[in-house]
Amino acid sequence: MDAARGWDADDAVTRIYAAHYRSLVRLGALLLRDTTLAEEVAQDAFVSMHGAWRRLRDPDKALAYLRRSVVNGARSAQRHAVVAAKHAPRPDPSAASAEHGALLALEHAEVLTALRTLPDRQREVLVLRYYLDLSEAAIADTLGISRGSVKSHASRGLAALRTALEDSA
Amino acid sequence: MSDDDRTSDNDRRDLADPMPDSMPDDDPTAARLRAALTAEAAMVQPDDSLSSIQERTGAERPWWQRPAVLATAAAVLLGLAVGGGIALLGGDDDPTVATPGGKGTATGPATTSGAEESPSPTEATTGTPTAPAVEGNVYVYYVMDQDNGMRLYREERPNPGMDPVRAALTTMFTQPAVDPDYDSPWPTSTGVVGYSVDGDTATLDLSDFPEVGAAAEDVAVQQLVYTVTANDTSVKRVELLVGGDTPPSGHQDWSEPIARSPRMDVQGLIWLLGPTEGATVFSPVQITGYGTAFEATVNWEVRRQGSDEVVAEGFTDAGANGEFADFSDTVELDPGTYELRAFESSAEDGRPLNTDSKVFTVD
Repeated sequence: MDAARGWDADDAVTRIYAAHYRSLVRLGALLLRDTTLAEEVAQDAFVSMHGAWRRLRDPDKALAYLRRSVVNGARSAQRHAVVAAKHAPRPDPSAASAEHGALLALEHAEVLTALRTLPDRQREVLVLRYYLDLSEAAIADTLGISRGSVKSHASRGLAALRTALEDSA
Repeated sequence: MSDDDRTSDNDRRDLADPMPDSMPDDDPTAARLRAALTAEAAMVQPDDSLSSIQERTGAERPWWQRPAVLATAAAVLLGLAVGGGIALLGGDDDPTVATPGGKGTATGPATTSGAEESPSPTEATTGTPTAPAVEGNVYVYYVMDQDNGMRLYREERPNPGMDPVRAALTTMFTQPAVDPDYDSPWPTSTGVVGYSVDGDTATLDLSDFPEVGAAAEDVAVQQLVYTVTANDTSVKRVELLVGGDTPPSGHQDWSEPIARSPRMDVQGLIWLLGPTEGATVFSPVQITGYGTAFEATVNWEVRRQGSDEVVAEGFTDAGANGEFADFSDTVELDPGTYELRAFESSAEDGRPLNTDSKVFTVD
């Protein structure tokens, strides 16, 4: 990462965008179930990161900062009543997948619908873990909580998910 | 939940992490979740947004480093170099002069304090450059690239208490524009070594000179000449020295005093002057600007910052047929931060041309 020492904030945005923009939008989209909104949240994150680069000065720290911004941005976007009204929910995914006759897609939709019923923190921990494959420590850092909390959110979240899926089965 | 407290395989996690993870991967629910998230994520294909991010961070690549720009601009500026000699004939090329025939007014130019709208327009007589709207401020020209080449845009900036020309040039060399879309090819190390005026010719000695392509150099020199002549209205030509000698250009001989090139060739065709970049204003918001467009029609659009959705739009008249004139309009907006764009619609395909934009806040 020595090469990154010469980066200015513009370089950092360009390079980290190239490597991670898509996964950050996807992270936002998995939390929000809204790609357009996720794109806005990810772009906001890059704009903030540009301002913070002088302090970050390290691509790994910048990526952690971006993930944190996306998770927080997704949270506040979700709370925003106006936003909720403006961005109507996507069509029921199970209907769409039934159209394709894909049982697998139906299964995925079922899991994601169950995921949506979980409290914010549990859902965030599970997405960071099972989509981004982050370690407990990285998840704790991203969410600004302890590793112990990560563990308990994860296990509660999985348990709740299991129950929801059993109920719907 | 303690039954989840198993050590899982860590190979995709932080290798440096000394504490084993305890989150399960072999749990059937976790496996279903992973599969669902992976499939769902793959369906998310975001559009490329690097340029809109860069627009917001003011990080667009310097225009003189973009080869495509240089090619276009070189073609435009080839014409400029040939036509440059006629610059000040008639004496009415000053950017603050709005219309021919003496009925025009100068624009109330941008203020940097941003607390309110520009003051009301200052009276101007044709052919006589006007002082900045706020006493003690100076005019500084910057550059933005457009479809029709690199173009000059003007900001009104505070004078730290020097001679206006020195103040304007020092700002131009060392300070970025308030509008992040604007740029300057001059090295920030450039300083004013000497400045004197004899008749209508100023002699300006600088410590540095841009090392850029021919087209960018031409614009840089015009940026300098426009800035000098806007702040000392008795000056019509600038003799340029670098370290006491003729400028070390690899492109052009700058040994003769240099006048302003015609406005149509070098100036931004639509300047958005109010609200200023970063300003906080009240609704109804006064839109002011200066420029020229096909059939005089300048379009404007307002978006919430960071959004593509246009929340208000309209059009108004500026100058036409090579005449530059003030334009203005008003728009009512709820409190928030907005981006205003003023532009001309291409007669060919309707795409926006000569766009100037400002981000501002409505309180």
